[in-house]
Amino acid sequence: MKRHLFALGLVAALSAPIPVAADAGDASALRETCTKAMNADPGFAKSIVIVAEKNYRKASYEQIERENKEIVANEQQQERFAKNERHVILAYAAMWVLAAGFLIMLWRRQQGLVAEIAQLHRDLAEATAEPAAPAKAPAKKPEKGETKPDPATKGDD
Amino acid sequence: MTVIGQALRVAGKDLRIELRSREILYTMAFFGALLAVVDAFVFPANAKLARAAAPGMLWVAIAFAGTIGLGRAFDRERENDTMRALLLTPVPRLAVFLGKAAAMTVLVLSVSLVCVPLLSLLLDVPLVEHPPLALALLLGAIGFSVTGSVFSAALLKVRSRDVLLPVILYPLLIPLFVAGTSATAALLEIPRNDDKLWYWIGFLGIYDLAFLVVSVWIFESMVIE
Amino acid sequence: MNRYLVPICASLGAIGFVLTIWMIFNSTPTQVDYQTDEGHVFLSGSSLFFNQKIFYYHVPHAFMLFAAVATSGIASILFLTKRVQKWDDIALATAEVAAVFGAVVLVTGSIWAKVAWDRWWIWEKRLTMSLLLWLTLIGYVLVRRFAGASADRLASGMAVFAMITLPFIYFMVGADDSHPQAGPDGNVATQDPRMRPTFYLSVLTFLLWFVALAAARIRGVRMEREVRELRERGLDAGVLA
Repeated sequence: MKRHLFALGLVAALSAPIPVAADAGDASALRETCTKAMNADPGFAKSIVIVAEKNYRKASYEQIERENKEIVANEQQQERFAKNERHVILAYAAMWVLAAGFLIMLWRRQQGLVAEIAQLHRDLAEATAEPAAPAKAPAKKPEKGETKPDPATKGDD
Repeated sequence: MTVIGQALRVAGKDLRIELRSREILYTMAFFGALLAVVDAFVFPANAKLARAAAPGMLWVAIAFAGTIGLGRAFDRERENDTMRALLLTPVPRLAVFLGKAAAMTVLVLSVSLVCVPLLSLLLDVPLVEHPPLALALLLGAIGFSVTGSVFSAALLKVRSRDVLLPVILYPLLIPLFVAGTSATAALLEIPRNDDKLWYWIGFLGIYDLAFLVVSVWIFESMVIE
Repeated sequence: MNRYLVPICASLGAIGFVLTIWMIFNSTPTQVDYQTDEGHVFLSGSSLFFNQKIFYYHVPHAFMLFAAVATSGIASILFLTKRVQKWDDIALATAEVAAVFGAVVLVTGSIWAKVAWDRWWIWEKRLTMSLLLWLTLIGYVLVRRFAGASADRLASGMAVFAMITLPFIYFMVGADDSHPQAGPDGNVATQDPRMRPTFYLSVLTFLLWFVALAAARIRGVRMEREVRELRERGLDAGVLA
């Protein structure tokens, strides 16, 4: 057990990122003693290797996991793009709305025209049926004048 | 007298009326100058940006000021119903049309005479130093005046002509303005991009030609009293 | 015009709608074995993404837009030369229908572009051309609406000018064209044989739809003119003020 603890400390010391300058001589001395101990005891050498491998595996596992996440995100994005239903639905809806709007406008205008033509025909028929009735005409004037937003009339000339 | 001579007479008449009051000339030039100043305010004072934006500003100023001039020039004919008198004169309609378009071209060019130096002064852009710009402006003015005259004359009897003139004119004239802007931008490139410049000037020429032909053909059937 | 034209075309068009919708989502491929031998890339290589299905409505609408504009332009020229009212009715009706088709083309294309190019709009040749064409059509409709009946010649002139502007716009914008290109034999729908039936049926559907709309609108235009004439008669008779 003690040996293992020693090994852990050793690995930590070896993997320390910045070896302090003052310890440089100590470190090389430690390394020498360590090498000697490893040569002397194969079990000790093996335990060091195991710990080092464990640490390495842990680091690489984390990296793999990170990469996997990225790949999954990428794939999801691609899938979203490939099966982009939102925009297709949007486009079709836009088309239908435009078409329906035009149809409704067309239909309403047509209805208005049909009614107006019937009204005009009736008025004209009435007026021509009684030749001596221009006096009757002014009575109709106001309502007819109101319902006549005629864009067809010319301007101010 | 040939058609050209008659057209020159009509143009001379228009320009003489204009020179007596100088109403269109002054208002158009002032409006163009105002647009140049507004543009100079609107865009940040950045030498690189100014260089990129100046061609667009110039042609927008010409388009807007030109529209104002067109509206006023044809209003003048409407006020005393002189358009009818002009059409009743024993000259072909073609001459009337060409004369009016020529007079309008002169007016538009005079606006650009104000706008070009002003813009190059305010934005510190070397517009004046390039003679080909005059050619581009001339072609642009011709295209604008030809198309504008056809539609202004046809709109004479229409109530909402002031609103409808730009509505009709701008979609048709966008290619012209884009070509003008591109030609001007080619001039301002360092070094001057001559290939691009002459391509766009050629484009303007062909555009003018096509529009002139259609206008001449259509004017007669569109403007009937 | 034949009284049955509108109902027949409209009902056939309705059947076509249902059929094409079903076919678009059931029989069209999302994967195409498309050999590129001259650098043509159709959409993103060999896979047609789901939003490619917009194409089955977008392209026929564009076809009908051009058909409507051409009809309107030719009818306008005929009206200006022959002075027969019939041609003006056709020009007006088809121009209005063209404005609607144009709106559909721009909107659906824009939605497609948002997915494919990640932009709603780019200044590309065909887009610019369609936009300007559409703006001219809107101008035409506004003129017809607000300039009154006396503006028929003016509007015809507009339609003719609009037609000759088109090639200029097409050459104006640079040669870099990122719009989906046609296949090797010139047809977008021949990327994959499985696309063809749906595409052609879609074109046919919208052709019927276009004819129905235009015919209905022509009838409306005639009625509008009848109203004007009746009013004038009324004015003469002293019935109306």
